[in-house]
Amino acid sequence: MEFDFDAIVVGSGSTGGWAAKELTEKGLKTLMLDRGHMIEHSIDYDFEGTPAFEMPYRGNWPPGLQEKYFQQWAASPYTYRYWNDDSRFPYIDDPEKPFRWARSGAFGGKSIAWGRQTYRWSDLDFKANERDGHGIPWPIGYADIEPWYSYVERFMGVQGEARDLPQLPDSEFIGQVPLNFAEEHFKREVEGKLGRAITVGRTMNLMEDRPDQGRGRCQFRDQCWKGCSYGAAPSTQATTLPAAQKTGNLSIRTDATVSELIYDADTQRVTGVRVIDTNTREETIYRARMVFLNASCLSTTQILLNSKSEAMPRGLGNTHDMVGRHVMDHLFGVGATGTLPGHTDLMEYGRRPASLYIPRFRNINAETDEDADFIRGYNYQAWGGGRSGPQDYSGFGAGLKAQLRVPGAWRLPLHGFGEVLPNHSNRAYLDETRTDDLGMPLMRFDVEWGENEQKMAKEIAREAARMLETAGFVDIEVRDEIGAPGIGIHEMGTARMGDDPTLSVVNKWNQMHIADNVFITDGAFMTSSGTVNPTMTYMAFTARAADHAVELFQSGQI
Amino acid sequence: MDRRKFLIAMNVALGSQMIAPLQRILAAQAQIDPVSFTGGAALFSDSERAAVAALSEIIIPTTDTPGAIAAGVPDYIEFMLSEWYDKDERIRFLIGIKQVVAYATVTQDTPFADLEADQQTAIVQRMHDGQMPVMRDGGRAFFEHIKQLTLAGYYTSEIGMTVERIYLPVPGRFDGAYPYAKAGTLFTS
Repeated sequence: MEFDFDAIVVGSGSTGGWAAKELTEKGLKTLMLDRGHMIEHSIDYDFEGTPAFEMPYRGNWPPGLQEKYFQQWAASPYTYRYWNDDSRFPYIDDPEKPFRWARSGAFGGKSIAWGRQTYRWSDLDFKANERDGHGIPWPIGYADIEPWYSYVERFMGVQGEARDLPQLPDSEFIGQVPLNFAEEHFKREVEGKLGRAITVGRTMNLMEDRPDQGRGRCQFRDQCWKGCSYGAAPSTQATTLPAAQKTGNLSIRTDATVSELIYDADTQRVTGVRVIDTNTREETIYRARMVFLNASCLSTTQILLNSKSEAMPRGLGNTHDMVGRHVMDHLFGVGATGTLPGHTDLMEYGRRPASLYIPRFRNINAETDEDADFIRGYNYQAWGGGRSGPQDYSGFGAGLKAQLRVPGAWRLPLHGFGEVLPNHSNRAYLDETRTDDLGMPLMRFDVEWGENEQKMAKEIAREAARMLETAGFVDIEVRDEIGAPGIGIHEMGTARMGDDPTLSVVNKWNQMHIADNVFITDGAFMTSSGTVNPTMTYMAFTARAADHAVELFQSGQI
Repeated sequence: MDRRKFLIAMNVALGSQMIAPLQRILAAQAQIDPVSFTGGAALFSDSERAAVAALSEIIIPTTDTPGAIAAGVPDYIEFMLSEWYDKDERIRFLIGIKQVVAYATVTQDTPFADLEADQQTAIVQRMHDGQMPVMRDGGRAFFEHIKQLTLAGYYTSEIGMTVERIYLPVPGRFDGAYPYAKAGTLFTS
């Protein structure tokens, strides 16, 4: 067979970028595909640094525009070009069981828009399924992935504070974002009185210049979400893409929707991908020796399920109905916010890319956690704090103007992120009749959290309030309603990793059991959700899988 | 601040570290015009337009910093009403401003905008207190409406964001215990 490329990478987000970088740096001629339009680094960050007085409608949605993004709650008048056009490519959202799918619509995927929180897993996470019997065991452990975490961290740049916590291994940090006054106060009180570790959120934001990569350090602007021309925030455009392009081995095609992988039953391999041009609808087939699926968890699921062949009529690798099962996210929406009285002589200068973080402290130790009525763990982030906006809007005239020069009290919001269990009945699947503007079957979701998640959520809210109280905060508002699944934007688990091909979709090298030249390294491969934000774990597995793929390629096995 | 100025500010903050794509943009990119609010369809009569301006200036007056008129709030209000509001919202505002104009004409025989400052302020105070005859809710609803539009327009204007408050597009660092006295107002981005 004639191949157009050595490898095809489907998707250009955080993992697609890493796959392209690793494969091209190791010599493979690689085609990177993305269904979205091109976003050039810096040049296409339309509203980066644009103050409200230069924004159309002062930063309000221009009339009629938001309708295009009616399912993209994370899109804003500053960022909508990065998000999915729901008027052409909607999903089916069951009002009885709402599911939130934050879906990218541009090159770079969610790597431009993500929260950049970066944490290593520990064996507490990797062994969780095995220990309590939920889901299937992970075929690898921390020791297997540890060097790949380091590899990714050294390239991307991670800031944070080394704490030597067994449940949250340290990354190789460069610099550290400071806490604000209220957070320092909280840290002192909670570490002193409850003995819990409090630190700063660990993120992929450069604290030092990286001239070797053409990236500058963070300027504390809070423009990460809009695209960072400094490259201090870790988009594909700023990081992995230039590295891949430098090799001369990378081809890119945007506006290229992969509708299916083409499976050859004789060789039991995928021989290529079918692409529909997002604008012209023209179809093209690209052939390659291997395919990396990095379309993002739910798009990868859609592609697999739509890859129907005579040999696999239910979709690629889905003879056992495992593809699309075990949808996970992190519990999100529960927590509490408190006010620190006084200290109004101080305020924040600058806008940080990270804030306070409370690492997992629950279900770490069987003796001290006997009272827990749930399994697994949770953590808290605390973005959105600092002095609130002015509080006194009464009256009019010079008095009002003076009031509006005074910021409000110090506020500290604690946002819980809780581990969810892999559950066979939580499912993403294709609608049988309705299709999107390019003829792809629409995605549907049947996902709801169970008893363990409900119990954990109650404790997340309760513990947030207790810590704030302990630290002397007042006016505590507790949020105890879990957000709809998907709202954490940590969707994962629909093509899980395992040793047993009857219970999983990929093996320990992220290779599909049924087609060893297909590697799934976006969130779909996750066998359990862990407690922490997942993106760096996806990146590390991607780099590891690419290394293995290249070995197989070079030895002629693929 | 336009994009070009923003990039120059970044360049200063970065010293010699500015990356190649930015330098290219700086060299190539044409200046983007600040968004103009004169493009919307005219909505007000002359007397209404003058009354809106006077009312906005009473709500956010010129003090040690410029007030609503200097900040372009009247144009902002007319633009948002004609281009962004839906019909019902627009009519609600138009009824209110017509009532204020009519009240001044009937009771003082003078257009609202030509009244003495203390007479204007007295009318605003009556609306604020819900004591205006004829007007819905004694004028309180319209007062809240124009007040909120004025605040939204003022604090998103160039003057509101860069003169009344401190515009800080590229802070370059973070200080979580910065003395409020050094700023005396809020930072904007």
